[in-house]
Amino acid sequence: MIAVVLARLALAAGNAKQDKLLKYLNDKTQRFILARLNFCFVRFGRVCLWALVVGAVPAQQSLAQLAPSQDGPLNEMKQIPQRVVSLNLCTDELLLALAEPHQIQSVTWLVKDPSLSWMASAAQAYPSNQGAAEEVLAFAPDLVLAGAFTAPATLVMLERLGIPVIKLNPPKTVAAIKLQVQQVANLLGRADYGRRLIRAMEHDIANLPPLATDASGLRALLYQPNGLTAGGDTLVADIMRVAGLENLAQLRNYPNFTQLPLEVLVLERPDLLILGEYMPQLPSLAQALLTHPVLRQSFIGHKTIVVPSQSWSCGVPHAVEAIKILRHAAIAAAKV
Amino acid sequence: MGLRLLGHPSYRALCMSLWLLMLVLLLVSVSIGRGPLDVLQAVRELMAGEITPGTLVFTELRVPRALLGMFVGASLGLAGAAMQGLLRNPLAEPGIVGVSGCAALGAVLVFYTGLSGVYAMALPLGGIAGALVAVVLLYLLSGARATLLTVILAGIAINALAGALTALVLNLAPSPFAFLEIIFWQMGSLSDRSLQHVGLSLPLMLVGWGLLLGAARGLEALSLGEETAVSLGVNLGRLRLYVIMGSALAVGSAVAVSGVIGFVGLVVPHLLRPWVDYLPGKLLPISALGGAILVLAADILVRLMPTQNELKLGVVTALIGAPFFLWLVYRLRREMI
Repeated sequence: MIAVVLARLALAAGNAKQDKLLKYLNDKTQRFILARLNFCFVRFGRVCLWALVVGAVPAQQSLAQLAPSQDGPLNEMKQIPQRVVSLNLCTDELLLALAEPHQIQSVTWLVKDPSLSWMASAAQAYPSNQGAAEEVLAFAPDLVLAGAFTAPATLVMLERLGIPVIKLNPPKTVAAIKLQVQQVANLLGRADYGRRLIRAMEHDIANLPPLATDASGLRALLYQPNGLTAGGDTLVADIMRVAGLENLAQLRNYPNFTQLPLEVLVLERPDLLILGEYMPQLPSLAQALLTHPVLRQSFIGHKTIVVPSQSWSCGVPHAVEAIKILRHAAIAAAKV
Repeated sequence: MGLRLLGHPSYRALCMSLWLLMLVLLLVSVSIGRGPLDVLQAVRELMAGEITPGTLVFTELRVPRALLGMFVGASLGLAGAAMQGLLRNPLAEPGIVGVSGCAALGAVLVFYTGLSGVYAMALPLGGIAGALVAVVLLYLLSGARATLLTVILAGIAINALAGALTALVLNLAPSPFAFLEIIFWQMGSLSDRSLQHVGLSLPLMLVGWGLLLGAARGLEALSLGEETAVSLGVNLGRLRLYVIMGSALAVGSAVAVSGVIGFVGLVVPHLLRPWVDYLPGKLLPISALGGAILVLAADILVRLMPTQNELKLGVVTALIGAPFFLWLVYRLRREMI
């Protein structure tokens, strides 16, 4: 109860102050000062409120933000955005792949890390952000791209300050990637370029080396750090399907990402073991699972393939690379 | 007291039955798991010298897990009994007084900096170093004539510091997975450990057990009071050194491979003490057996629970241990009034 009252008070104080100031302040520098003020007054209230609300508000809210078939915010932009800031690794990649360089204001610090993103070198040219509202405001963006799980408090704050925010849900199929690429391309005024990228994707998929007839039904299982495997309803599973592999996790009805005990993995005997590597050089218990002696011994002379995380962690055109890696692995595994 | 009315089994019979129970649990432990493994067939294949997925699961996953459960449990039980004897304090326990927490900090430091990747023994040694710091700190903070309160307060402080530093190190660790792994280090688990972990920790644990068991006679004398112990020819300095080094070696290397598993060293000696006429010397060996039994049983339980992701071992031991701890505090309060 006390928390609620405090939150209300803080919000009210923040709003009153803000309304008063808004009448006099208009240009960008002053808006920045305002944002700072806003932070002092509103942050506490927001934090309290979100702490109360976050448990209750289901994820559907973010889903509703981007309904691809309807006239969502994606089609509401009146002008082509010229100062775009991205707050999520995957939206960074989309932005870098699709936008004209002068349209990009800032990307996250993550996308500059070559072990996380295949676009790291392209990203170096732009200032990075760590996703705080203050930082974003300093770039005076006319569009903010965020992921479905980007800190909701930050996004609400940005929207309150009149900055258009678009949340992009991670695509869960290769087809959905194409759809999203085209949507974002349209948004950035790069519709033709988007179509070209999609055609290139389709071309690459159509020209994958063919699987031998007896290679169909090759059962593959993904094993990622922390022992995670990907069942149905994940992009990874769809990429495996497009590559012509049968996903053992899907056959066993594992939902989404499930933790697989090592002994289950060993006893399942997949024809192809796909190890999903993610910063393998850095020590962690999660990573140590991939080097457990039982894996080495039980997959001797067996087909194992390592897929670096950056080739399929995001639903971007680059996911085609993961499809290629897996198709080649499937062909090699069928020969064994 | 109620237990004694039932008649007292001889010490030998008690040891035998605990051994038997431990062996049964060991067998249950290797035959239980989430994978569909026919254990008998795996053993047959193993005897025939075949290598199949079944035998690999048995030797590389099931056996190390059961062995670690036994060894880690024995270390915690033994160290708990010895520390209670040395500090003459029924609440002294590696987890409660922060020895396990500091051991986890030591292990975390060497693991996430990559040191243990270069030199594998660094992992248990890091745990031991952390545990040693905590035992010495505890002894200095609470003094030789520790009251109930000073030991527990010192323990709270050590625990808080170790926990905070562990969280700090994990947050600073370069790996993106590190900071979530605090759950393993603070709650403990034996899942998907390997024979390497057994090989790394067992030799140092054995040395620790040797030192702790070597302190049995001294602790027995100490239970009569310090002056009496000295007059009986006990070298107090050496006794302290044995218990401190022994606990550090046993707990440090155990925590380095399993994370912190709390309350084992508290519950086990307390349950067993009435059965050995409150004699610390006799309590030590059976506390080791009891600790092994408790951890093996808890580890069987987490694998049987229908949770999607396996429950951490420390959750189970805390669910058993914490109410026990409260009851103990309640009883001690009544005694003090």
